[in-house]
Amino acid sequence: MFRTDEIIKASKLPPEGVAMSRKIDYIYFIPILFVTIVGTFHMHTALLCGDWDFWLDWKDRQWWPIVTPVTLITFCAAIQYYNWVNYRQPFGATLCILALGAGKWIAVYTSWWWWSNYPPNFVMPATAIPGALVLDITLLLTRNWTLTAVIGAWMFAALFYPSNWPIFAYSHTPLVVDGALLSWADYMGFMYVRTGTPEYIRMIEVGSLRTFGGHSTMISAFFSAFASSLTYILWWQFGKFFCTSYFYITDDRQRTTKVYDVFAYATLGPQADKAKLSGGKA
Amino acid sequence: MTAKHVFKLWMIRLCGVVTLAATPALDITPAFAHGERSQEPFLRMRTVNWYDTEWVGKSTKVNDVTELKGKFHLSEDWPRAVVKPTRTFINIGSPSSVFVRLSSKVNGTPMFVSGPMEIGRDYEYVVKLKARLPGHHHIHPMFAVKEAGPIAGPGGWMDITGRYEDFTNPIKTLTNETFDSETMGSMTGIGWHIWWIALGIFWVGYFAIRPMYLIRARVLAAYGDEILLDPIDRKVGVAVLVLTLVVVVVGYMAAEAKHPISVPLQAGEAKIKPMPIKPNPLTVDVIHAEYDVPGRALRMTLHATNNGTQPVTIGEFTTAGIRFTNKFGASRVDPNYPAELVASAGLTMDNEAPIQPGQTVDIKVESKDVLWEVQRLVDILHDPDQRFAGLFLSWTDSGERLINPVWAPVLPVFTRLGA
Amino acid sequence: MASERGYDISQWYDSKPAKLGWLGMFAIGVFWVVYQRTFGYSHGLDSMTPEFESVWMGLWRFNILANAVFFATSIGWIWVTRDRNLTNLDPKLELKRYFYFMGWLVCYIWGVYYAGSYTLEQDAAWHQVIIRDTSFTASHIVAFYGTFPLYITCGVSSYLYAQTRLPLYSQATSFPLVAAVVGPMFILPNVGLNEWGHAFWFVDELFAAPLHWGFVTLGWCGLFGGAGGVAAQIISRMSNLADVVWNSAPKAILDPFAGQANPNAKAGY
Repeated sequence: MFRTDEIIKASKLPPEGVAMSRKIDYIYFIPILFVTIVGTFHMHTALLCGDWDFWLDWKDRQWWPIVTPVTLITFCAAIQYYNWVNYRQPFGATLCILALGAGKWIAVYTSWWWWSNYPPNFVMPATAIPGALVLDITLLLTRNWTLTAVIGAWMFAALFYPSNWPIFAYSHTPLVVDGALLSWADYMGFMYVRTGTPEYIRMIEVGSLRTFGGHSTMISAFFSAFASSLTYILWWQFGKFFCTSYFYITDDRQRTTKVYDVFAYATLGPQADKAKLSGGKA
Repeated sequence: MTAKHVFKLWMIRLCGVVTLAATPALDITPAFAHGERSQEPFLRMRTVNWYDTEWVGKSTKVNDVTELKGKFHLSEDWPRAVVKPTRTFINIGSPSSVFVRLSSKVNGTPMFVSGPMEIGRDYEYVVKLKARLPGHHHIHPMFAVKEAGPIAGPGGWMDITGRYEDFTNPIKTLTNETFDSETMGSMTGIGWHIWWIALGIFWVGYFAIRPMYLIRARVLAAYGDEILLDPIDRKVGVAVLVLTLVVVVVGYMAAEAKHPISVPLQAGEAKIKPMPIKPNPLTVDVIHAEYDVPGRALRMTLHATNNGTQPVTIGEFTTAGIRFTNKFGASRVDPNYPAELVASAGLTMDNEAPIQPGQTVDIKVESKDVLWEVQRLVDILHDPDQRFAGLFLSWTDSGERLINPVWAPVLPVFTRLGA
Repeated sequence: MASERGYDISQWYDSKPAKLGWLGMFAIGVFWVVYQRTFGYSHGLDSMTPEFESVWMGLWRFNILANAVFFATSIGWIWVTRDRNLTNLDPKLELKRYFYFMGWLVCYIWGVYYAGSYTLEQDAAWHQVIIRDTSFTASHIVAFYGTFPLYITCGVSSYLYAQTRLPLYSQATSFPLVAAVVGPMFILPNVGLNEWGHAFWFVDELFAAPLHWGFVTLGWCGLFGGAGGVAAQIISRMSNLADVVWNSAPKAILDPFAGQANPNAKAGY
């Protein structure tokens, strides 16, 4: 079914070398790569759009569909760069969002619920996996990061609201308490006492106009798509920066030189003429 | 690094940990208040002057509804360092959501969202609470000011009995459905997350079952990506793409159909009128105040005039939720008020006699108690703005209560006078 | 086993220290979490009480002390047992050391997970429960003073391990490795900014507040390690070693700095 045998043959590694490469995969993929993303990406998300993600009563039409995708697409782009450019693996974005989800769901149950007694529905995170899948598949199909920035990143943000609506639609059901109209989400935010988060902290629905009436969410998603495309481009370059693989070496005259890492197989391979000498980087 | 070494190192750490963990386990003192005492004295004394705080129903069963209510005066001496209360919210300080807050009214107006309040005016709040988590809980009213943060009021104990498992909180919506706040939406949300996570794991796993890194890096470096881009990956990619888009669209439409009526989050502002100003025949000004550090006493000289028709007797000085009373005032303290916040003989005056109609007097008042230190109000000495504020409570002969806000700079005294 | 496969993987592979190290890291995490759940409500709400001083400041003192001991032991051990003859390193042993190096990175990154993900979001949860009255909240004592020094030690150890046992890192300074260790390390000093902000402005718990963004940018540096330059360096070096071990490639490919390294300044320490 797969071309695995052909690929292994081209790698010119004996079975022992192939076994070693799988050992690297095992120790690297989940314990190092995945956990790195959990640790850093979760922090990035919590401190840039965390409040919108933590609370049911922050998921508004104006900021949530913008702040969250723009915050999330950053690492997706950088991890895509790393996995695509070095290994042609098209799962960077999905891997990022899965890693974030792992960090989030552990927190939902062991911190929000176990320690602080908030029910999971009140602190339910949003999902960005559909957008991430589309982003990855766009890269795989187009093999082109510029097109991915234009089409994939655009879809990443545009899909955010519709893919979360099945999770959160119920929370916009109206109810009346003490003669005041509230959405269910507002009332949840009111009922479950948050000592550190008074109501005014919410950054929601603050524009002075709602000119486009029922379409305000779509307008937000549209802008979010644009902003996500730009962010993707920036963070693809960040990905390149994080992947810099060079050393500084000081010689006996105390001169410091920058030396790039050398990937010898590129020159030793049977088709050395076709080889790329840049250490496997596009 | 040898495995044995790592193991040893961690065993040593764990032994230490276990030893330490056992120490506090033996210390079961149940005196756990909330951290309000670390708030600076100027923040607690010169912003909100709480009074008539009532923890109704000191013991409730899970699912029972009770109230936290009271009044407060926003001090005229509002500190420069604290943002003015142009956007405020009456909150509850509780060790997590042990109660769910069903409603909150300030001067009769519901306060679901924040709103402005006026300095120098009084407000009455009633917060309806439904017991959720059993235990012995310390509950505070809180006044949160945007950009200044939460200001904690006095804390009182409320007990909840029963079992959390019995807690339900069904609420009727405008669409005639009944939502339970503990569970509504959880299963749907979790279901959707599980589905997307499963699809995401499938997508990543589909590549992870084949050699992932070293081999591909070698092939890419030597041959470029022709070999690596397996045609079947593109086919699976297209299938997953179509599946994703179809599920998003169908899911969205199904959610729209299931919840056709929705409203945006309500982000308005509560418009609350202050309580009407009650005519007060008594005027009280502080003309001199000093804090006696070793004596733990705040001494004030009051300049008071009674413009009314009945004699008035001063009974209490209150600030930061702490009440200093003389004998007269002590008899008027709500017996349910937390005893640890009352200095029932903490107020002494050089002239205890009622102030007669038309009379103007200068009274030397001393509010003295260890509470100044326990409640860390003595820290006023470390404030960058050494002033205090509070309320004097007095009563006319016919029993009418008069409230006089006071404020003044405080001078420290470091040695016992006359000693 | 070896005869079945026709080769002996123990010549170039050993994952036991990585597994044990991770288990140790996991155990201390479980201890912290259970400690917080056990004593959070009973002793952790008011920092002005003596029981807070004994239970929570006790844990703080333990965290500081245990981390200091761990740092000294770990760094000391790596340094004392350093390889003084790196020029004659057998390529298979070097491959094995790369697995050990990855084992250190596994521990380091697990610590970063505690700091950046677990205790961070837990912080948001716990600060809804307390009236924040001290820099040393039940949440911060574990996050800032437990997990931060822990991963810093593991990070510095990873760096020192590479520097003392792997020829590439002993001869030259890897920019991404420095960034991957130093960036997250600076998150600890950044606590100073955080606490200064929270101490002078008694602000509410807004997580996306600009006051917190220092943590974010320093956290990005983690990408230099697990998903960037360091990982790429590991893969390319192990590939080169594989060529020498299994494809009879000339040993010269293992010396990319030929003629550049200053033997007096660095080699063998």
